[in-house]
Amino acid sequence: MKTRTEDNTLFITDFTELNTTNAMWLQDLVRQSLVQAHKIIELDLSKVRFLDSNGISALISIHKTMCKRGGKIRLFRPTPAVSQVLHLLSLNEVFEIINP
Amino acid sequence: MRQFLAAVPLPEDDLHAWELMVTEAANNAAEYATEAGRQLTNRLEVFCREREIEVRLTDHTSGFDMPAQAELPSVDSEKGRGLFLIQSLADEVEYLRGRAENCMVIRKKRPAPAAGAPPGTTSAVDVGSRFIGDEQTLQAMTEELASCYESLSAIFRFSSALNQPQPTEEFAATWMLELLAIVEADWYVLRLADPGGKELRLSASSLPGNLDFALSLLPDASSTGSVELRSAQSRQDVWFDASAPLMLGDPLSHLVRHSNGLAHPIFAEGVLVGVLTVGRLSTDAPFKAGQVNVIQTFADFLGIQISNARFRADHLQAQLMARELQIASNLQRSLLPEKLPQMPGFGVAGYYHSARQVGGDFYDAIAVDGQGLLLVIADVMGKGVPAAMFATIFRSHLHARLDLVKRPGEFLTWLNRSLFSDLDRMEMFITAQLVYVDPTTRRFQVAGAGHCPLLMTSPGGSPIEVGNTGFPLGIMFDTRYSEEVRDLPADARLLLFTDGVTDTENAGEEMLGTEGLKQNLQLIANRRCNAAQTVQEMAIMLQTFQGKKPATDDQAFLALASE
Repeated sequence: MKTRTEDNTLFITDFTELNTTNAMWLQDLVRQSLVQAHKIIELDLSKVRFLDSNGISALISIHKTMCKRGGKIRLFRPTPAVSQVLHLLSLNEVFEIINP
Repeated sequence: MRQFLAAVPLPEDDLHAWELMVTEAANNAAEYATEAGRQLTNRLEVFCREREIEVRLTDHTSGFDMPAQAELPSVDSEKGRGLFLIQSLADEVEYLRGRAENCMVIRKKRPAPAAGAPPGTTSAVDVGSRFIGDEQTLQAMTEELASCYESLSAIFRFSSALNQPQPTEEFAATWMLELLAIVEADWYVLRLADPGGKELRLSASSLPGNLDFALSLLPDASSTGSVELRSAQSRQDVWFDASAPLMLGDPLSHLVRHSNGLAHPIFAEGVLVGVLTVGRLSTDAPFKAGQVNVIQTFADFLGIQISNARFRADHLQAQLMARELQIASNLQRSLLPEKLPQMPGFGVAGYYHSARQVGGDFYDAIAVDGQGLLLVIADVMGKGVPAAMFATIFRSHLHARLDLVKRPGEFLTWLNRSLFSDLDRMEMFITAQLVYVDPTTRRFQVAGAGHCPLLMTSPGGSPIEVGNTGFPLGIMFDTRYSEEVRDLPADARLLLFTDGVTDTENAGEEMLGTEGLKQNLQLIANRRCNAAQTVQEMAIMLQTFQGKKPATDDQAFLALASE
């Protein structure tokens, strides 16, 4: 997982799954990287082939953190597998999803 | 598992769905495992059927009631989506709750075969051939499937046989012969652990030699090199063959020296219940994986049956015990006098409260020559049926020598000698106090055998303890009991009691004690209560003192008061 900042956005990229093995790690990474100027967190899901409920928990936790500070979370190009899970859990309306 | 299912083959969507469902189920199994369950392995089984895939995952959690359709948690909730996902993706989800483990069964239809392909071409055997692609392996898998089928049908046969109760040993022997046939084995030895887990005892064996001795499971037992013991101690399968032959010290080596096979420990709910050893009389034809699987399955199933049978036996035993206690309790209650004799100027009343179903406290009052009165209180040390039996014996002895009532010391000496051998053999004893009250002389005589002194008081006075005390009955054959003679004032109150009264505890675990009892007795005496009222007031006092805390010992007392 890598992070970079552009303007008011924290980008998190380079991961292929989001499950028990790295969900906590992602949350830690966000906690450490987030600064006051960040209003948006954008997760690059274009390479994520597997997302489970632990991964979802992490996304929701980050979403709540951002809402509290008047910001939001954005999911960039989720793969079909990830889209299916988001859809099943009716979360596709909650997160802003970018599919250029 | 993904790799295995990809070879079925399944399309990418289905593979992903299965991966997600199994991950969610496994996460829950791991997250909610009980403390003990964390040490255990969860089993994942995949069944590829013509039209569906079924996955079973065992867990060692305390289980849950599966809703018909899990609700989607609120958007903010970070938990509770796993089951929802499983139910959304599967066609059928079942959750089977068991005593030792639970099992989640997930089924999902397979997509219809592509046009052109004949239906039902993908069997499990086919999967094997694609997966491994080897003729010999295919043969092995076919054999394994066949023996699994045999194993399953045998299990069903025996399951139905279980509805008719039959002895476990006989059941096990029949069961094992079936097993030998299925796995083409030549011999078996089945040993079961005794309920205390101290040794392995022979249950059944197909070998002609004498194996009917126990193998000690205690850690300090000298090792005999027995494969059975090694398997029990390591809790693992122990194999023997040409490269690892049975050791010379192994009792089996005398009977089946050149064999190959395995000793398999049998567990029921984590506890060792026995060891099954199965072998072939050659060192070069080892069991195939499928056959080993069958042996293990049989053994494990047997373990469950043995544990169930023992549970049933324990349950029956408990029922018998309860019935026995009920009889003893009735017996004991019948010992207590329904109506106590009275005498001129004085009344007598008694109280008895049993802490458990049966206790050994006893009281009696016996009228002598129409005027004198013998007051008796006794406590048989011990509980349950033996205590009640001795209370009965004590009573019958008491009534056998009413000529001795006016000399309570001599009476106790005689009672001790008569009861000594029985009490000594049972390692029990009785504390007792005899008081002979003579209303004409206004005196009473007290003799005690290890019993707490009685309390005497008058209105406005303060209670004093009376009664010298010797050994309890049943301790020393030669004990001679002396007696003490006291004056009995016209307004006197006597209270004989068992130590269950002074040992009564309140919610703060403070004991009433002799001082507490004295204070209460004095308050009651000051109000000039008669015997019946004294008993009633004392009973209320005891119940108030102990509050909701249940009594741990029997409580009995006998009160004499001027009318």
